Amino acid sequence: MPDLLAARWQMAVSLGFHIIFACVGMIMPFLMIVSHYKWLKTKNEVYYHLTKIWSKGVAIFFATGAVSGTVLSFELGLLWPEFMKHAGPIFGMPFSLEGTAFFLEAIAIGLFLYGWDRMNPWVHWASGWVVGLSGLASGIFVISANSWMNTPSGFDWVNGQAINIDPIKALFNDAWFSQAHHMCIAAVEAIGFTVAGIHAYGLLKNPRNQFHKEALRIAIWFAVVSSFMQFISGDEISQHLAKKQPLKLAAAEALFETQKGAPLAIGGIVDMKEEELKYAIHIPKALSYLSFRDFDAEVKGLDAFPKENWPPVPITRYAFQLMIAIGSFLALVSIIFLIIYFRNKENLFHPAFLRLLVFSTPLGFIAIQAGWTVTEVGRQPWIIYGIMKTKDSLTPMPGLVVPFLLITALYIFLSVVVLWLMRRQFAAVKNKFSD
Amino acid sequence: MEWIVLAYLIVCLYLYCLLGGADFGAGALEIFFPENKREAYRNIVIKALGPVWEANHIWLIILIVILFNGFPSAYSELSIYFHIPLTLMLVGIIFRGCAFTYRTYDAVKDHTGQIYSIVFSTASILTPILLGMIVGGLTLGRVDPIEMNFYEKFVAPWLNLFSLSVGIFVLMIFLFLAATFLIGETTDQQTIEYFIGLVKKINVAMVLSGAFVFLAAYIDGFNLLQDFLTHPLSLWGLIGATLPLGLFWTVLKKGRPWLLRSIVGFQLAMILLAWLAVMYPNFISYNNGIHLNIFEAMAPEVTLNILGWALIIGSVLFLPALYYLFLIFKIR
Repeated sequence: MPDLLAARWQMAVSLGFHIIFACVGMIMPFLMIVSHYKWLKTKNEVYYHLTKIWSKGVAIFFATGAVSGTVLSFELGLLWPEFMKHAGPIFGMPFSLEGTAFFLEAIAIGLFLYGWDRMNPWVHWASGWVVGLSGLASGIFVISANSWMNTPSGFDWVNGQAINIDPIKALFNDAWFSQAHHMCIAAVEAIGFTVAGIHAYGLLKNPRNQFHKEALRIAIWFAVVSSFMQFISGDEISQHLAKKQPLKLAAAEALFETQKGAPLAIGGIVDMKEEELKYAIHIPKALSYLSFRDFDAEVKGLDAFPKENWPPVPITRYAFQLMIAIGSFLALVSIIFLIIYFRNKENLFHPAFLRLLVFSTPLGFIAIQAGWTVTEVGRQPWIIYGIMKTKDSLTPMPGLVVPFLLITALYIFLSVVVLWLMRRQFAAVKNKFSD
Repeated sequence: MEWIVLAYLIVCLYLYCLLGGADFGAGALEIFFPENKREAYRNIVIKALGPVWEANHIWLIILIVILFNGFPSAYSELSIYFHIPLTLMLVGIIFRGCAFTYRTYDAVKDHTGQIYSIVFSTASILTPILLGMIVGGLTLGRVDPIEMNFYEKFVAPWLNLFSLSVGIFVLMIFLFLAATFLIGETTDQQTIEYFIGLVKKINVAMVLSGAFVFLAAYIDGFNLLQDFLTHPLSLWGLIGATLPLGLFWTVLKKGRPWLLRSIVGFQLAMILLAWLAVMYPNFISYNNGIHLNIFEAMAPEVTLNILGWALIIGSVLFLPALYYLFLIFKIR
């Protein structure tokens, strides 16, 4: 395996693995804040146990997220030292801010997990808020580093060096706002549906289990609200892409020809030889409207850019379509939920709806992986867009297939262990809370 | 401002060795626990590490961020030539953190507890050794940028007798810290006696392995001892690390865990000081006599200014929180 490909795959696997656990750390605390609050207010034991059992899962995911995050901070240099040599001084702020937020989060989670009997109950509840807010903050900050790679700012690039460095300008780079809201909402949506799905499964096995009912009741709202917000967010981010990264959008849309009144293509197969998208359903003028709020606006196609700088179009396109398909499906599930909720609440725990939720369990996370594939693969061949190519930032050490296989094997192993741990967690709950 | 950033870099290294090192040491100590008391002692370790280990290991991340933000070419050179031991160290960090947490939070307590413990202990032993080997490699100065042979370029600088001796010494230090800290984590007199006995044995091993570092340096062709003795700060560091041993052994009989902790904390600082004084101002030494000077590796002034302020403001935010954490779990 060529070294560049091995390095890219290692980075992709490391990021893809880490982000699942990061989402848990960012969002689960908020679900727990709700259940914890309900316990403190109603003294209904189910909420106490729910909070405690969710905590166990969170602790496991948090630790795995923390160590995989440590790996990433080193991998930036291990794989892309030339990139870090130049980028380090420029985009250090997002990382130092993320580090601070994460430090607070680690402290707060220590207090939360272990402080049940050692602190005033409401102070203890507040520590849960600190976990959630600092987790969210650290996610938002670290995204600034990635968005900087997409819309670099805060420096002048002269003769292969960065001069006139302005770290604040780099922090507040163009794509930060869009990427941040899109990822945060995605995290809520993924966690909402995964947790709802897991507890829906529990209810299918155990229809009278109060624990799963209350858990589902909390999680589903996170899922539903975020699934609608994600469309607004997605719309904003694609308008941003149209202006600032038109090549990435062209690849995602598999739009080969620059045109006015560009249609939105749904589905289809990318034919790189003929340079066209075949068998797609076209909605006339919709892409122009979505991108620029003007039915007749000109949308840049791939042909507007030199071919050697095209990202891999098929991967970008299919990942993009997968993400949107899932987003649409989950919004549909949310609509069904709302209909049930406002029409006939008893049907909330109807087996058919529960099965729909169970089916939806992994979808949010698959969409997250797909979305990140779009933005990362869509940025190639650049590591800093328009400034530095990925291949020029690679470490000179050969044999990178070895660390790639090592890390991948390790993460596959850990994934299996974590899933197995969750199964054990689930089984332990099984007979406890039926009425 | 560059002095402030450099100071933070050193403080982070110190705190990582003190707190994260004690974590590693505690895990490594588990293999020494006698069969009949293993479960009980393990529970002490779990209780001691549980609330604080995540926070303890963040110092490493902050250290790395300061490095790539403030001293970018130091970070990139380190990442190139020490790719392999860094990767192995990361594998150790992953296994250690996961094994520890899974052991505590696995809903079912059965024979898998044994597996977690073995993984946790093994990782806790190997990771400090690797960390020490990297430190040794940096000190030895055998990095060769124009070397073509893979082994000579990417393995030999850190896989040698001297680096291994540093690795073992680092492990001994961490074991020493952990055993000392554990004295204060229990009130049972018998257990305290056991830990005191452990501390004594480890202390002897630590001093011996420290001496071996100098011997290994001599065997590998450079006179580290002379370097230490001729740099005034290193000499003071050596003295500062060794003298308190007398006080330490006296206080050991009486208990007084916080005094013991302060003494070993001071000793660690002295060891670090001694090493840094000998290295200063170089971060990596190359084969051809060229060094990567830490000041040459610095980022531009504007970056250092902002980093410095970010660290100062960040400290104001998280130091009280960290103090509160330790207050709740260690002092109360």
